[in-house]
Amino acid sequence: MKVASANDSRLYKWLYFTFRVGIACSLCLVLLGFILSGITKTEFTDTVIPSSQFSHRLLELDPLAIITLGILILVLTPLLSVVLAMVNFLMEKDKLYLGISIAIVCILVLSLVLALV
Amino acid sequence: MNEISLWSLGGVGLAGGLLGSMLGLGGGVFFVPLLTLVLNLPIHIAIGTSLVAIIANSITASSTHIKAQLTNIRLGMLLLTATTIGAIAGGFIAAVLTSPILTGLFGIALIGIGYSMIRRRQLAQEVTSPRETAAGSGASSTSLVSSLTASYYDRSLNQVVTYNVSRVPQGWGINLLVGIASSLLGVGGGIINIPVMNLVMRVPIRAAMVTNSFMVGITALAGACVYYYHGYIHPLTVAPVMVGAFIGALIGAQLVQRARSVILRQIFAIVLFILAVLMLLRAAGLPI
Repeated sequence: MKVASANDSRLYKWLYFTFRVGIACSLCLVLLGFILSGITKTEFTDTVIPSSQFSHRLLELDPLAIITLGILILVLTPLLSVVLAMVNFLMEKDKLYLGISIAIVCILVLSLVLALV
Repeated sequence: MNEISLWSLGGVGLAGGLLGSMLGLGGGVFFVPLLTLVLNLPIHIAIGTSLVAIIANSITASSTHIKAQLTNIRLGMLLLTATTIGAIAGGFIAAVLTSPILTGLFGIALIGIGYSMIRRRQLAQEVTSPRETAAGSGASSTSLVSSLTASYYDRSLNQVVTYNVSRVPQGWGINLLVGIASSLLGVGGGIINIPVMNLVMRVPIRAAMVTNSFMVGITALAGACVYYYHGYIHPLTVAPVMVGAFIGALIGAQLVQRARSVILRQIFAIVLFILAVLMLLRAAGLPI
C-alpha cells in the first residue's frame, strides 16, 4: 500500500531507479575489470591510478581503470540521489528542503574537491 | 595482488555484508576488524575500504526500502546536513591519529556496540507503542517539524502508521557526532543513530532503520572522499570487498527471515566483544 503524496512518489521512483542502475553498473564494471585482467593476464603494479592518466588508461581498456570507474560510479550514486532530491524539491517549490539539499550537495562536492585536488 | 588475496578480500566482504545485513547494520563493525586482524591491512586502509563497502550495502538495502516507500527522505536529508559535516571532520581527525590509537578507539567502540546490540531488543518492543500512531508528544508546531511528519504502511500491524518527529535540534546535534564516529572508525553509525531516532526523536523503529539505511551511504561518501584524499582507498582492495559485501547483503536478507533475531544478536555481541579484545591487544602492541 502506497501512502506517499504524488510528489514524494516521484522522488521515491527516481531514487529507486538511480540506486538500482548505480549498483548494477558498478558491479558490472568491477567484474569486467577482473575478467579482463584474467584474460589479458595483467599484473597489477599500481594501487591507484593518477587522475591525469585515468581517461587515457580507460580508453586503452586497462583493467585497473575499469575497476576504478566501477568504484567511482558506486561512490557517486549517493551524490546523484541528493541532486535528484534537490531537483524534486525545486519542482515542488519547497524552499526549505531545496535549501537543505543544496547544502548537502555543497558539503559532498567540497569533500570530492578535497579528494581530487 | 595475487588471486588468494582477492578471494580473501572477497570473503571478508561476504562475511561483513552477510552479518551486517542480518543485524540491520552497514557491516563496518565487521569489515574493519576482519581486514586488520585476519588480513593484516593497515587500519586506515581498512577503514577507507569499509566506507566504500558501506555505500554498496546502503544502496542495495535502500533501493528495496524506497520502493516500499518506508524511508522518511525529508528527515534523512535534514540529518544528513549534520552527518556529512561530521564525516568530513572525522576523516581529517583519523588522518592525524596513529594506528595504535585508532585501533584502540575502534576496540572501545566495539565494546559499546556489542553492549548496545544486547540491549536493542528493548527498542524492538516499542514498535507497537501507541505514541507512534498519534501526534508526537514533544513535537512543536514549527514548519520544519511539521514537514517531517510521515506515514507508511506497516505490514505486521496491517495499518498505516503516521508519526511526528520530536526534539529535532537534539537529534541533529547527536547526528553530528554520529558522522564523526562513522568516518573516524569506518562504521555506518546505525547502531547509534537508530536508537537516537527512535528514543530521542520518537520515530518508529522501522522508519528509523530504513531512514538510517538511506543516510549511511551518503555519510560514508563524505568520509570516503577524505580517505581517498589521503591515499587510503586502493581500488584493488576495495573492489573484491565491495562485490563480496553486495553478495553477502543479498544472502543475509534472505537468511534473516528464518533466524531468531534475539539469539543472533547475542551471538554477534559475543563475537564483537572478542574482536574488541583482539583490537585492544593489537593497539597495545601485542602480536595478534
